[in-house]
Amino acid sequence: MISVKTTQLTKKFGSFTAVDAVDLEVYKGEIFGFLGANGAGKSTMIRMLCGLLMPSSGEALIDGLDIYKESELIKKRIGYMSQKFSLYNDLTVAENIEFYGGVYSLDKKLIRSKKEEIAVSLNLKEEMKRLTRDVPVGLKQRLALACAMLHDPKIIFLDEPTSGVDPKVRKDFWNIIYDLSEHGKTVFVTTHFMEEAEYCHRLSIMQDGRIIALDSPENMKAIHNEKTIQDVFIKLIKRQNNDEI
Amino acid sequence: MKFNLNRVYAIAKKEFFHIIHDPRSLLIVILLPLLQLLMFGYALNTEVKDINLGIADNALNMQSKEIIRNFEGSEMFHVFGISTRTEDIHQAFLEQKLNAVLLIGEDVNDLQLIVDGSDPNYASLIKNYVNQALASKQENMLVDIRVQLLFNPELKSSYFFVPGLIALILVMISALLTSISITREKENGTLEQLLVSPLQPLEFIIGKLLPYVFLSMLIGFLILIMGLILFDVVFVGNAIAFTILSFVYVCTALSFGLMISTVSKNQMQAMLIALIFTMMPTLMLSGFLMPLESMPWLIRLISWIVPAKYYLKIARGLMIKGNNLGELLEPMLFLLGFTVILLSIAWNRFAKQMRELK
Repeated sequence: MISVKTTQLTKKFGSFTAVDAVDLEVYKGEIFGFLGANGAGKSTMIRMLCGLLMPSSGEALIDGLDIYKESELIKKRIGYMSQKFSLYNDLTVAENIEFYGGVYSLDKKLIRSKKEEIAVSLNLKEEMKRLTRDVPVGLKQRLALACAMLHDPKIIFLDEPTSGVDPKVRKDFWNIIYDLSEHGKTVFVTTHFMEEAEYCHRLSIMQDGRIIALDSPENMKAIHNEKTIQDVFIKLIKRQNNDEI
Repeated sequence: MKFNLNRVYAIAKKEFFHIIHDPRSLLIVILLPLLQLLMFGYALNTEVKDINLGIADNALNMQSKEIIRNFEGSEMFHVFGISTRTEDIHQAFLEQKLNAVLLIGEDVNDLQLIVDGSDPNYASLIKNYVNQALASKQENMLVDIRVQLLFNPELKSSYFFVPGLIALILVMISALLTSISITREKENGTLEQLLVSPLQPLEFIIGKLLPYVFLSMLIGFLILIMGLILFDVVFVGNAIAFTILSFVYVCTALSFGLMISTVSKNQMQAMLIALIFTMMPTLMLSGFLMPLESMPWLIRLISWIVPAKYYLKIARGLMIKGNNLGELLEPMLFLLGFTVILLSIAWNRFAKQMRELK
């Protein structure tokens, strides 16, 4: 079942083309990664898909809904978390959860049960009444994800979710992502960590707004006869640069 | 695209938490107005007391003694005897021993008043007081003018600055609070998180305004009460009318703050714009400190768009004169008009920015 489909999706900022005619099909329950250098277009891609940026041209369907005409419906079915974590540092953990629950107009009972659920799963009963700024970064990141997931979205967009956290926390976070995928959620992740790219079901390597490779990490390594995604990435980028010269 | 009250409530509640979790800022927001009130109250005093008046009596008869006794009996004057020599008088002014000198000629009706004109306002006040004191006792004057001052017979300056100060502080605090609160969301990236949610621009704006309406009104009442207690201002009007009209004024100021937040890039910029564009016009162009009637036509024209000008009419009208709601309809309509215009600009710009993000 197709969860997200784009056709010739393009975003231009003036004369600069950030995303260049991308065709994509991502399936339900898939963990789909965008790997690329800064400015390769991966954030722009994600921001278009979750309605933060209007595409210059091309089509996109999110859970079968048109991003131009049905953006209000799409909003209820997607979750988004950026590297900034988007929590209010001067509110308590509980107040953050209540607020995001309120923004999605969840009823009070549901918010309360969600709050308990999060307290148990993140093991932060004590921290509920603490200000978010005093919570460790790793926990904050997981809390931000929990807040972005309160309304039980089908598709989750994670824009560099693990930048600025240590490798141990990054590992834990990926376990959550796997868990989400097993529950049938489609997960989009952008990253510039090579080892993180290995965890995706399918990976697209982006450069200059185009997808220059799209396959599972295993296949990619096999086709290019390399041991790690890092080596594949370097090989591809070099080849691309030579072609352009 | 449905307007959802739950979402408005969620935003308002969150904003309320922002306020109470930052007690230091809250304290500043409350104490600053009180400090301003005290400063204005004791510094901006236009009442004249302790006028040092030198009197040179050349008539030395019953009538001239009567005049001197009259001044000596007044609380406003300290009377000193002085010679008629010009050098002595000049010297007394230079040493600031005297503010004014009254020369009584050999004929009692030949009076001359010399006033230190280095502070023209003070000088004209002294002139008036001396004239009053003379006029009230001079029985053989041909024309008897009796001046009656309405509403503020004692010419208390607190009657004049307390309403003005409420106007100033309300507009400053309200505009400041809202302008910062939205720019902060832009800076922290939380606005982005809200943009992917079903939240509508109008819900966001109204939710943001609500807690600050209450806070600003609270501060307004605080100044009013302090003004009544510390500076014995009267309040002869209707308290409910005052609340309603102050609410309208606060809404105007909050909408202005919102508009600022849609044009400024960061909190610092928002703060500066809010302070400059509320403080200067309110102090200078509203009729708070200087009467608008004495200003050139261009300035008077600009004053038409200064909300404090209208609120001053309302506050003075209700506190001092005892106007009713009907008599204050015109300034109220102006304020409502401003609110609608500012709010629609803010909403438009905000919605446009949301689209441009896309």
